[in-house]
Amino acid sequence: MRKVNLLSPRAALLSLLLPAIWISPTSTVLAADCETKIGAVLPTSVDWGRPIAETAQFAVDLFNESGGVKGCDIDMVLRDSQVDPKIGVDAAKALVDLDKVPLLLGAVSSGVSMPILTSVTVPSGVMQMSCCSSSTGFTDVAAEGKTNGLWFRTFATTRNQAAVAAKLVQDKGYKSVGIFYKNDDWGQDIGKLVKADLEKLGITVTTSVAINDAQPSYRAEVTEALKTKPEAVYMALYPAEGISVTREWVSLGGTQKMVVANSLKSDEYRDGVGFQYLSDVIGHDSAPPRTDSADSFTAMYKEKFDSEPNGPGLPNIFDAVMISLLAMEAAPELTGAAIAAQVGKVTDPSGTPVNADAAGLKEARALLADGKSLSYQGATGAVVFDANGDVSAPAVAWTFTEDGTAEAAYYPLADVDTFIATLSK
Amino acid sequence: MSSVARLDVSELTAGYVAGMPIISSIDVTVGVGEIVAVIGPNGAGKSTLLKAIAGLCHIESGAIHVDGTEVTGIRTDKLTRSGIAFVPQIENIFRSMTVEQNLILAGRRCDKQASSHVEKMLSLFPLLKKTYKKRAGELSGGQRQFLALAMALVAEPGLLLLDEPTAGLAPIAGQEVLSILREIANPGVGILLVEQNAKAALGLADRAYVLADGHNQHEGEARAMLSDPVLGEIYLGGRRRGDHAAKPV
Amino acid sequence: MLQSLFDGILVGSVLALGAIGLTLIMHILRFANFSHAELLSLGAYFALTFDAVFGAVSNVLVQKLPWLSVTWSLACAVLIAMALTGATAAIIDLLVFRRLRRLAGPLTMVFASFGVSLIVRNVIGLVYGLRSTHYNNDIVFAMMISADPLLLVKADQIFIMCLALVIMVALHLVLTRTSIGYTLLAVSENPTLAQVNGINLGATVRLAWMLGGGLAAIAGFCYALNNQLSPVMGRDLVLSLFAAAIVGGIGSIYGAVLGGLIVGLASSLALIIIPAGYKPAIPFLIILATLYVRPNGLFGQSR
Ligand SMILES: Nc1ncnc2c1ncn2[C@@H]1O[C@H](COP(=O)(O)OP(=O)(O)OP(=O)(O)O)[C@@H](O)[C@H]1O
Ligand SMILES: [Mg+2]
Repeated sequence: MRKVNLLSPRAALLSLLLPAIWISPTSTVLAADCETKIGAVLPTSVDWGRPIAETAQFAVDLFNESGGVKGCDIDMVLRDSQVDPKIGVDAAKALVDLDKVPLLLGAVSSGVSMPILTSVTVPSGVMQMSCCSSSTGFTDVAAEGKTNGLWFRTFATTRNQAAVAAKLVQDKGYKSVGIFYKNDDWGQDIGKLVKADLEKLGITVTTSVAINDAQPSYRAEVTEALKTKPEAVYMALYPAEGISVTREWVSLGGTQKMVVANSLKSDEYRDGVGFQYLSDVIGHDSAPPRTDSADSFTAMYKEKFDSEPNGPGLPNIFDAVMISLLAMEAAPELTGAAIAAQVGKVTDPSGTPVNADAAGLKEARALLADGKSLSYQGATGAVVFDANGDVSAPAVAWTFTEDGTAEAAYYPLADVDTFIATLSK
Repeated sequence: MSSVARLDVSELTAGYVAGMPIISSIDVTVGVGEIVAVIGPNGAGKSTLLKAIAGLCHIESGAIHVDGTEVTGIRTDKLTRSGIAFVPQIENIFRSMTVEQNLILAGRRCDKQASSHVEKMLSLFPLLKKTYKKRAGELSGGQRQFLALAMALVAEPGLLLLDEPTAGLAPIAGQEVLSILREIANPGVGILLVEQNAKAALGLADRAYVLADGHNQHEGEARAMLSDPVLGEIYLGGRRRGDHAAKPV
Repeated sequence: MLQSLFDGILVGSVLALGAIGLTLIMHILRFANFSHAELLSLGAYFALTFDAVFGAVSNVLVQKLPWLSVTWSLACAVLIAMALTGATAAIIDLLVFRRLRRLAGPLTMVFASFGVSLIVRNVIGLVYGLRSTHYNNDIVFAMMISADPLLLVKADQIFIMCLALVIMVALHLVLTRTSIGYTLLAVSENPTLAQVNGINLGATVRLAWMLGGGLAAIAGFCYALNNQLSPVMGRDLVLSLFAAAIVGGIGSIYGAVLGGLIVGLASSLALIIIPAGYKPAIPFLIILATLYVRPNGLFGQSR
């Protein structure tokens, strides 16, 4: 998935201009006469945030229709984060303190999710699951033991992409690589990870050069890298500076063997550099899983909303809701810690596979009642969390063609995970 | 135009900011070939008067005529090109340019035979010959005054407005400058001369005005003023201040 | 090291061309003109447009100059771009700055220049699109002059350096030998005294804008030839241009040339010592260091 600039000024502005939109529970049939509240903090006031909230509610409704949690309907109390950390934290506080929710879904941007995690959910022992925060910062916080196991996300992190980048380099047989990375959070993150992964694979990283945006010339940076004579280059850049750096690099006789991040998968980059110089480029990107469960989500979504689930984070929020609710069903009591402890049980790779539809959920209830573990098969495939609450995702390799990009290879989740496992050894 | 000219200033009220005149109702006349001195204490408005005539001040009321043609508020460069040369009290040369460039620039306003005019200036001010290729900023105070004067004269003006041309000069050099002025005036070029050294100015001038507080205080024959005991006591009691250099204009 | 030196001089000579106009205008009109860098973009895009026009008119013109990636039509287009950019600069002065000079203070002028730069930048984006483009989409490969120490040079780059040098020498001759040059020097040192010496101030200011605009167009063309055209190229260059002008001393044309070279060399050589991530700070550091040692810049005069 392309990195979504979730904290862009435009988004922030929109959130100021648009009134907060509340999505009321659409379920009309209240099967049960009791209700259990959960909380959600999502940017409903920005144009790409609303579909995420609607999909969350869709998942809750589906779950309620199949019988709810412990016989009670789930009432998702939704609050707008306005893509603002302060507002997001206030919203989360209100949900935890006033509505006494044991579970919080959200937020979208890492910059909002993080303060909610550290200042609201973890201190109050509430479980938090995000659909869309990709920062590796959460992995670090979790690894330090500061999340008490209460944090999960259904969005593959930069870690995942970096590993795929390293795999592409290895598959191509390049022995030495120079790295150009964008000098921002994302670029520094992926640049550092790719470097570490390549070195683990025994591939020499000759240099790692930071690229600032809006520089009049990148010649000096390119020259620095050129001096180290790498066999290939890896670029985690955006088209604006990516075009300048690539052209400069090629014109100075740098190798045209390039591995590039998903951010350069664009016509702007291909046309800006010129296709004739990009025939040796291979790029990586995350991919929707090619599983039946993913297809069935797409079908359900289309039936409900009459459009493809193309916005960012839609399958991810769907799975976040389903997994959380299944864990609630499995939990002996409805506290954050108790629910979080069951997340592993419903996403157990060795458990019985269950789908995220009415039949699957019914089956899941029965299995949980028998004390069996499940392997949840959802919109993003078979979700498995690691010790830090992170998930992995399938990936694709792509190349440029005369009129766009073409897929070169598909790496199913299992392959990606196996590869990441070899890197972590 | 290098013909001689006559200057008539009548009822001139002017200053630097609109509504705050520095000089009021000033009347000054310079006849053809006449040297007219303007004397007065510090801050009397002598420089302001010259700048107003040169089109560098805000004029409230009154009129300025040159040879009967009104030039009140005319653009400075046009006035200059019509044959009226003004030498400001300070910053009267281009320091970053050489003596040669300064003279050529100043001579350009009459275009034709600029070089022969420059030659003439060098013979008039032999001091400048030695420093011809030097940057004007490197000249001594006296040399700068000579250069400023030469720049005014190189275009053969019909009327000269001089603001303290002897300031900063050694007494002998000052005398030299003043005697050159007499030579210039004889062919018919009028000179309006603001001078610190009132005695010398009155000794040279045909007529003189005394300015104080922005007003005409006194007007008359220079020689008569020189021997006027009252005026002498007030204005001619020797030098009122020793330092001529670097004062505010 | 050798490569960095070469690159620094190359970038520096382009910056110098841009900084000359900036320093001239800043000195004569006494305000920091942040819209000057946009004239570089404007010139580069004018050249792009007229290159297409000439190329369509005649087949002969699409031939490349020997050795270079520059076509005859582009070369002609640059001349037109110079004139048009100069005229645009003068028109902007007429419409915006001249009025403000009479009515408002220098700070207002600075803010107005910010506004003008935004307008110009966005108009360029509107007309030509936001993506970057090139005069020639083929990448020109560099020749390896020497392998150790590494020195890679393109014929276009030699051309840019020669062009910059020729223009600077020509400018020097104009300023020191011609009455137009004297007029510009005089006005930039002391506008009042210049008027007293018979110089038409308004006409000279217009001339300065046109000269600055013309030089900016060449600088913009050179930059775009060596890098790319983009509507934000002015924004990317503005800090370096100001650094060059300030280091050289506001008002000094020779200072601007030296300042341009210093900024270009420093940005290029600094990466040998510091990581690339800190590069954007270099122009600031140069400005600070210069002002600390010489508050008026290397060639500047106090006033
Ligand atoms: N540029 C200016 N702006 C505002 N006020 C000024 C300016 N120049 C001079 N003044 C004021 O105008 C008044 C007259 O000054 P002016 O220079 O005309 O005096 P002056 O007779 O030439 O004195 P001096 O003998 O010192 O040269 C003074 O009060 C002075 O402060
Ligand atoms: Mg005075």
